[in-house]
This record gives sequence, structure tokens and C-alpha cells, in this order.
Amino acid sequence: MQKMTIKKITLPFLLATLAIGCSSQKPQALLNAEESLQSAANNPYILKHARNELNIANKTLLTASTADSEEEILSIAFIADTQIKTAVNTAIEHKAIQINKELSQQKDLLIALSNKAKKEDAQRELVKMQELQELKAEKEISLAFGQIKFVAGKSELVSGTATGVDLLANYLHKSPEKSVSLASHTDSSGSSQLNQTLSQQRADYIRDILITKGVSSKNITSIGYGESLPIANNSTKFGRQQNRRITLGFK
Amino acid sequence: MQLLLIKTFAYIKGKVMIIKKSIINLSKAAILSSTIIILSACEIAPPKADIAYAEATLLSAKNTGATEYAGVEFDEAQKKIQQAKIEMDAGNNTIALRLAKESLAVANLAKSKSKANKALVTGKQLKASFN
Repeated sequence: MQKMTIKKITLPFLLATLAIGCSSQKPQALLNAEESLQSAANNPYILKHARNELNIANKTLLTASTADSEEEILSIAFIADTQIKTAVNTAIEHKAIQINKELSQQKDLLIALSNKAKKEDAQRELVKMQELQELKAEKEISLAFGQIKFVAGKSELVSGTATGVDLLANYLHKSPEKSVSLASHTDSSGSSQLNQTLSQQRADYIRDILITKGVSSKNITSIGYGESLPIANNSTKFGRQQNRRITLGFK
Repeated sequence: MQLLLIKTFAYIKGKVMIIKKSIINLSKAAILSSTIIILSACEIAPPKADIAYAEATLLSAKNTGATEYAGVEFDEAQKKIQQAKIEMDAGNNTIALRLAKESLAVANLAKSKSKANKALVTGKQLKASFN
């Protein structure tokens, strides 16, 4: 197809060349224009995108055979040369538009990727912030649980010391994916068997309160450790107070 | 009789002279007419339409940004149009037509070059925006 088009261009071009050549010696300007046309016609890109312009230049060159003065031939050569330059520029424009289209597509893709990366960064940041907030809330709850006091020898809370339980219930409500393990400890007063039972009852007591406040039982584990894991000396009052505790573990 | 013959001869001679003069005058008139015809056949009508077409094309080139992106070609086309008008006003219509045709080609080049340069500049800006 391309070869055929070239033939279409070159045949009249050759005829024009012969027609002018037979009449007289051609001016250099006309020879140059003919050479430029041939060169442009050999470029597949120019031929594809500026065929009309090349045909116009070719027709102009053909008129040189009927020119009756050197001035007219020079003018025809000038016009043809200008028309060939127009064809070249038309092809350049087409190529540039094509490249620009590809560049725009690449840019859009990069912007989309960049937006995705930014979104992912923002999401990571949000998760990090949420984790920090959870950690802070869990620390506050644990601190509040440090204030919990049980009636001696019983699994009942001393009035006004249940703030930690309320905080924990609210927290587990807001974060249903979280689970908590309640570990109850006693001091060494009394028999160890009794302390073991008492610690388990106290842990279960807290668990039951949480359940009545709407927390799912699946998210709560209650374990009584009795006096087995002291953190202070049981021989002093302060030490025994330290050992009577409920610790929390969040997951 | 002799006198009559002389008078007749003189009369004929006079007529012949008149005819000769007429033929000369006629020939002169014919030569003059031919010259006028030949001269008028060489000159063409004022190329007003060609100049107007070139001007319209140049305006179109200007609208595509030719003054900015193809300034040299724009100026060249403009000068050629002006020259064409001067030649037309002076009655040199053949030269005026030639210049009008040249200016049309240059105006088309200005338009095409302007569009190409604009597309190239857009490409450069796009590439720069990647950094």
C-alpha cells in the first residue's frame, strides 16, 4: 500500500522532471525542490501523515513545465519548496501529538499510582494512630483496675471502686475485635486452696459484670492464680496489698 | 478631346492617391490595434481574490499562534502580501499574482509550523511535569 502511494507520488514527479528537463536547463532552485520532494516522499511517516501536502507540492512542480519565464520557474520552485516544508511540519505535528498522548497516559497512570500510594500511607498512619490510642486506653483501664478493691474474703467489689470495670466495658464495646484476659491474684493470707478458689471467683465476677454490660463472653477469659504469682513481699501490709490484684491482657 | 483625356487621367490619379492613403491609414490602425490587443493579452486581471485568500490564510495562521510559534514565516507571508498589493496597485498584475501565490504557501507553512511547535512545546511541558 505504501509502495503504491510512493509510486503515485514519484510517477508524476518524474514526468514533471522530464518535461522541464527537455525544454531547457533547469534552475538550481527547481532541482533543489525536486530533490526535497523525493526525500520527503521517501519518508514513510511524512507520506502517511502529509500525503495531501506532498501531492500539492508535486502538482506545483508540474506547473513548471508550462512556465514562460525564469522568474516564474523560480517562483514555482519557491512555492513547491515551501509546500514540502509544510508537509514536513504536518508530519512533525502528528508525531508530537502521538507522543503527547502516550505521555499523558503515562502521567495519568503515575498520578493514579501516586494517589494509591498516598492512600495506603494515610491508611497505615491511621492504623498506627488507632493502635496508639488503643494502647493509651488500655493503659488507662489497667491503671483504673489497680484501684479495684474486693471485700475481704469475698468476690464483691468495694463500693465506688468499679471505675476500671466500666472503662473496660466501654472499650470492649467500641472495639469488638479486641479480647481481654482477666488474671486475678491474692496475697498469701489463708489457705492456698481457698485463695485459688477466691481468685477464680473474683475473676469470674468481673467477667459477669462485663457480660451484663453487653460485652460478648467470647472476648473474655477469666483465670484465678491464687497466691502463686506474688509481685511483692507478703510479710508486710503494703506487700500484701500489692499482691491482691487483677491484671489485664489485651489481644 | 485631348483635354478631356488629360482631365480624366488626372481625376483617376487623384482617386488612386486617395485610395493609397486610406490603405496606409488602415494598415497603421490595424498595427496599432494588434499591438493593443497583444499587450492587453499579456497582462492579467488584478489578483484581488488571490491576495484576499492569502490574507485569510495568514489570519488563520495567526489564530493558531503563528506570531509566537512561527514568527519568521508569519512575517515573510505578511511582507509578500504587502508587496503583492503594491504591485497590483502599480498595474503589475502578473508579479502581484506570483507574490500572492508565494504568500499563500508561506502562510500555510506558518500555520503548519505553528501547530507543530505548539505540540512539541506541550510535549516538553509534559516531560517536565514528570520530574
